[in-house]
Amino acid sequence: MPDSLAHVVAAYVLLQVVAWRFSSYGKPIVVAGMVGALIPDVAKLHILLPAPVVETALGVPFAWRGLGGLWAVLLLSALGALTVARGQRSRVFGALVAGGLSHIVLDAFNRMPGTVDRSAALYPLHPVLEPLPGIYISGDYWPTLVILAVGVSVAVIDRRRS
Amino acid sequence: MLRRLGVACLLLALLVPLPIAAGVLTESRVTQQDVVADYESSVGSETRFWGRVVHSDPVTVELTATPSLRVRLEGIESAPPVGTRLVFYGTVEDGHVVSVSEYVIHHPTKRRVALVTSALAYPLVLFLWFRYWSVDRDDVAFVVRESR
Repeated sequence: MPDSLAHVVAAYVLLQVVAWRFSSYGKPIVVAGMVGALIPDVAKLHILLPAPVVETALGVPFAWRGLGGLWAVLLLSALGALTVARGQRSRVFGALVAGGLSHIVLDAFNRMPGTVDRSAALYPLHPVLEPLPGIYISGDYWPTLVILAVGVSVAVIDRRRS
Repeated sequence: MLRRLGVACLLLALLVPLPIAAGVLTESRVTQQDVVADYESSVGSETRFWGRVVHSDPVTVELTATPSLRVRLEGIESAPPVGTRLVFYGTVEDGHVVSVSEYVIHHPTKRRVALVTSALAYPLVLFLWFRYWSVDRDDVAFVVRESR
């Protein structure tokens, strides 16, 4: 997926449609899903703190990419769910995981030469996600435009429903 | 509260092995830096390369790296334009030749636009979060705003 905005809107679409079906999934839970869509971006911390700097400090090999996969999504979602009131935790956890997973699945359609880095991040979903065809590259405008259009449509439908 | 802190610490501790495992995996493979540092020892290995194209003719590209990498590419249909960012995966061969199996060309303007739109996502989500959630100071937790 080209950018984080598209991931956030994709999570909104996913969670909002679920919210239509389950009344307990209100707007706060939909927003939690949008937050979840940003969880795999934790791997982008390498921009602020390059891995070699961390490696030198810790004395062990280190790659931020490890925090962009499924396991990091599960752990960080659990961590995020702990920050909300007890009664909301399970729903927030589910929404965060759903948002994070939508990010990972959409990224699986990214055309990225070589799959060496993807297997570990996608594990154990790699047998399903790795064979997916690369249909865009990061930087393409059209996926964002398509998702924004779908997002606006869902928002309009939601407004009419309520 | 203490229990919550304990669970949070446990979750953070479980997170630590993930980037370390990814680092170990990376270390066990030949990387672009290895190829730049010692080309001859990397011959025969497969890896991913990336960098800004600073020189390009139909067969040779020079990528920014530390130091820069100049290789002849086999398997690329046309020369990538100078200034673009080239990502390719291929096999390192003798004589500074890489036989490319997959490649993509990123245009810098598109990348900048993607970065700007990416940056929009964070304040948007932050705004929405505090629109629907507030902080309960007694419980030290986010709670759904009354009106929502």
